[in-house]
Amino acid sequence: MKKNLIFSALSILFLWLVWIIAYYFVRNDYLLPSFWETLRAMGKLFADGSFWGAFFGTFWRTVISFLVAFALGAAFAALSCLHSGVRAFLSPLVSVLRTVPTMAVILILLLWTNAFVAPVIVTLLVIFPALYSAMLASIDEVRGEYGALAQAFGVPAGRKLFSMYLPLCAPNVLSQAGGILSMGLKITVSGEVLSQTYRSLGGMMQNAQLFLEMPTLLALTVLVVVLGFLLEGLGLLLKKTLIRWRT
Amino acid sequence: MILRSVKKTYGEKVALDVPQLEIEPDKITAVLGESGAGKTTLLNVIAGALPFEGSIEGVGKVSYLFQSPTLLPNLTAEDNLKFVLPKEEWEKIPSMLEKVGLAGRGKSRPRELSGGERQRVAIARAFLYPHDVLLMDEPFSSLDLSLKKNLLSLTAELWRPERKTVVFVTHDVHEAAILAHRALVLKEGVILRDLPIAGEPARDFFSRSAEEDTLVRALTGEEFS
Repeated sequence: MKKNLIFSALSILFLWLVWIIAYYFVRNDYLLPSFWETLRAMGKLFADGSFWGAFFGTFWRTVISFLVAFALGAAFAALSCLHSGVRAFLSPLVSVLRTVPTMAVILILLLWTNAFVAPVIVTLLVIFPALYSAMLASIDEVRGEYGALAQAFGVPAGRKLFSMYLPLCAPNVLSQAGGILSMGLKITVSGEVLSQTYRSLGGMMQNAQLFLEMPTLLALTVLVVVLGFLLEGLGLLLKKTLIRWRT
Repeated sequence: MILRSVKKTYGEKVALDVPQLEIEPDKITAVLGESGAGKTTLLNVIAGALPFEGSIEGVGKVSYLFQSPTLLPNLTAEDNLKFVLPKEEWEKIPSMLEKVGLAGRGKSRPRELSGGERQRVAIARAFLYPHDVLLMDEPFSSLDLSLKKNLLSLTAELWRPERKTVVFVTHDVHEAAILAHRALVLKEGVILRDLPIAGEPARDFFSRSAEEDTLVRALTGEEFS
């Protein structure tokens, strides 16, 4: 465990060294700002009230998309397990959602909705298939392993749900949920960049690019990456806290 | 329990063909045969888990003892029993856990129990669940010898007070000879031999009876060559 942490730290150190070396060769602050300049820009952002408005705006948009996608994923995965027709009906729809180009969807949604709603819907559409598939695979696995037992002993539906399906599906779903939430953040930010959403990290990135504020743009990018890591970690933390029977 | 003209086919292949079979209510009936002989199909047909031709009378409520313990990993031993039992049976759990040698282990989760202890929980579950017929599908096949010996006599001990109907699928002649009153040898879905076994279970693990020799011959095909 400790060894793995050291290797993870080394990987971050490696990225930082690549940045330092690349800056040494590029030597152009408009193309690649220095690490220290980016750090200073980050400090300025932290001191700026509008940054926090944008930060929480993006954060909540991501969380709302995730929660709605999670609820829909759970409901449809349960229905798919109860009825093979629902599974067959959803299968091509989920495949279409997986392959449809995100940017095209945002452009269409911008015509139909506004800059606040479009990133939420596009994130929802992108992460729903991932959550649905993760939940469906978990339910199938649990049913394959313990379904015969529950059926043989005529276990009531409520007991099956609360003692079997929910606790046994949770570890698998939660370990994927963090990664999916982090992916949702990326999609939300992309949607905001394209929609130029007011009070959003994506909107701030778009402005920074327009005014050639490269250190701010890079600082915002680093912050989105860090937030993504934190969200992924949150999923793992939740799994560790809630699923005590596995440890 | 009476099976009449019971037939199960998969396409052209006949998995089970039993014109008539009576299974005594207070006896343990072993079903022996090679892989694919139709042993598990017979269990599934009795359990009503498979559609089939013919009829079966007098099955009643069925309990199971599977090959693997199949315990929910998130629940304690006690909660695994509660999971399948009706609430009014829950009070019997502590005494049953004591009977199967798991007193004080009720709060342990499956991963904290040894393989033998897990199978004891499964045995407790099978006997505690209110039933008329107990179906056992090779529950001792993956156990080491000493554990097998202990669990065979534990099963007989738990069976003795109520003497419910048991259908016990196994591929091990010795297990059948120790635990059963009667052995059916299946081959390609047909009952090849129906042999009574003298005495009461559990018989001596270390001795070999004449019935056991007959069963070995029937299973290896020597008796018919």
